[in-house]
Amino acid sequence: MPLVTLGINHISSPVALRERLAISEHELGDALRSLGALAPVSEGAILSTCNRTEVYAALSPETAGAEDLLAEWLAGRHGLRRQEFDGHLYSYRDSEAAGHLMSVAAGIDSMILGEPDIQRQVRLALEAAQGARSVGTLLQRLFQEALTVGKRVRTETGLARGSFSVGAAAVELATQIFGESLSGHTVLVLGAGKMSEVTARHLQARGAPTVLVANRTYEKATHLAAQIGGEARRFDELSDALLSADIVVCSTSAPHFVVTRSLVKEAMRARRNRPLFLIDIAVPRDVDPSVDALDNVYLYNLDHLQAFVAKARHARESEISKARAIVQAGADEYSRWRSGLEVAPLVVAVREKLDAVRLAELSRLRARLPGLSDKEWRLIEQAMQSVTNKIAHPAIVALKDASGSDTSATEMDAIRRAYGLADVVAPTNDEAPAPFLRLEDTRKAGGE
Amino acid sequence: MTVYALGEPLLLVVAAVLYLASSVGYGAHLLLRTPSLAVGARALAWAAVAVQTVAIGVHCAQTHQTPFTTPAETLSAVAWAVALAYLALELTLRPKPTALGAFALPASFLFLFGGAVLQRDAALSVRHVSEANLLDSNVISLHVLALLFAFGLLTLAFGCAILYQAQHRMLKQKRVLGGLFGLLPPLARLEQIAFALVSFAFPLLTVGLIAGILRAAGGGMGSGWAADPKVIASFVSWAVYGAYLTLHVALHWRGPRANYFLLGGLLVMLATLFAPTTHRFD
Repeated sequence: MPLVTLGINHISSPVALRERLAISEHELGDALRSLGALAPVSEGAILSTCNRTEVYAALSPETAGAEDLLAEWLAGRHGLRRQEFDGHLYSYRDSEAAGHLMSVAAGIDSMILGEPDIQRQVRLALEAAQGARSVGTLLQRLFQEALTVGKRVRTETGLARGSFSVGAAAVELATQIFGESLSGHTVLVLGAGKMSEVTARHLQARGAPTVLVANRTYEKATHLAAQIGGEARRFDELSDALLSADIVVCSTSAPHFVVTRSLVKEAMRARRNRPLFLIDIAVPRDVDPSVDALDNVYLYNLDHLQAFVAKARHARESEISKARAIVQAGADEYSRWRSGLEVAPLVVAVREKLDAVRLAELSRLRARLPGLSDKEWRLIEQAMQSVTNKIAHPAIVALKDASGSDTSATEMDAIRRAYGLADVVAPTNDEAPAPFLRLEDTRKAGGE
Repeated sequence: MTVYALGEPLLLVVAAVLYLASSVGYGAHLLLRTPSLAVGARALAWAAVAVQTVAIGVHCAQTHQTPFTTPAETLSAVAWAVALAYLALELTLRPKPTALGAFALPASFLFLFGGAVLQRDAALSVRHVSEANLLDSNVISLHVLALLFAFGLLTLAFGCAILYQAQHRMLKQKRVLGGLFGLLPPLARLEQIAFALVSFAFPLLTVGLIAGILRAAGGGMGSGWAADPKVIASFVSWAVYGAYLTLHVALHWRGPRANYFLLGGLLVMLATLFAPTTHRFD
């Protein structure tokens, strides 16, 4: 049963494209049901964050063009044509797909190296898939394994220590505009997510005395405001909030621009041209990019933060190799488990076949030798059981040894033919078709 | 050896070398952020100002003239005023605006060097003795000194505008890795300092120009003094800085648009030094 990952992320595509393929939290259940409804998809999960949209699917073995199928599904779901994003998709199969999810959970693949929030996002993706009943043994185990690997990387390496976060980037940029201390500068947080909270806390730590929190759901704004010692604002008070705030952190899940050019232009007039710093960490973006052209307005989105990330990544190169080793070990472990899972039906089939032969021979023998005592029959049955076990043993050992190796398909096929078990299907290990990227290539081309 | 024996030219050479060394120190501090570099650069700047003050004193004692009778002398005096204004700013502000030092001290060096180049014709100052005598009045002293210090302060405001524009461009173009990013003062602080400098300089500029008008109207410059290019340039520069302050205070102009006034204003001020002129008291 092939395992396929198809996705788009901050390395393979700009934010303008990523936001068009994003799947928001409230759309996730519906998307998972739609994915699960595809005929060859037996298990499906979706990981959609501000930096990536990835589809994980276990498909029936005879599926041809699994990547194309998933890409078409993605395009159809967002009302796009394949040509609009084809060159930006990457895909992986089987052990590479597993390794990829583990790298993601560990924060190696994140824009902010080692950032902690991705672990929570991977867990949410698993929970959403469990809620939609779209995951089974394969993906469930994969996501759990990825979470374990992510945790190991964070505790056993320095990858996440002093991790350069969006919050830290926001502070560094804000101090270039307003000065070392942000005292006297109000922060406005749009959206009540985890990223908003983290960023707001960074800015508070640098002296920002007041944090305003606005969210479409007022209760969420109140909750976050209470957590960080801020003040909640209703979303329709946004234009007023823009008058007092100097730093605005945007991370709503709105599918359109929340902060428009006209809104900011009007606000700048009313705030008498005091500089305004907007940091847009939402995907889809919250702030109209044309806002950046306005005088005294400085707008940064996730793509603009790449430079900071590159700097932090460079400083922690040695930790990356340690983290990769842990990911590789996790991926190998998962592959072994999965191969074991794939040879299991054949092992069972071999046993059943031999048992059937043994029982048939015993039955024939009973008809020919009616005068044997029960004790004698028990001895004959034990002898035949021993013979079948001895015949099955080398085949089962060979299958278990071959599981996960490059030759496992060949050896399974040989045993299948030897025992006349043609209907027990072999796993596939096809390479991804040509139109899809491999992230190693994009990284070499200057991604992160 | 007395300062008289040393002579003014040698003292100016020493001052120029000290300005240059201080410039290097402030530049290195801007890039490396080593505190001892700023301390050294500051000491060199004070030494340069002290040596040039002595040179000005020697000049006055030897010639019995104020040292502003020629464009060359005025440029040298502006070098001194810029350095002095910067050091006064360092004494006043916390944290010290050392990044501005990397602009101010090179400016002082260049003004002094430019003055030396113009001074090559030594006879020039002799030719103007009669004019210099005419400068020997309180009104003219006020005129020259007010304009001199205004020039110094406005040069620093120009420096703030340059640094602001550099920082602004880096932030707008998202060039946040390497280069000067993170080394320049924040935008808000540069804007604040520039506004404070112009707020001090503008009254000086106004007093200087009024003193000049009073002296010119009192006779000695001929009837067409008001049409003199130097006088016109002086009024244009006054109008530019007046507009800057008005727009800043009344219409809250900030950022690049306001900076264009600071950049343009100093260029007009420089034009007053080199404009063809009938600025004579004969």
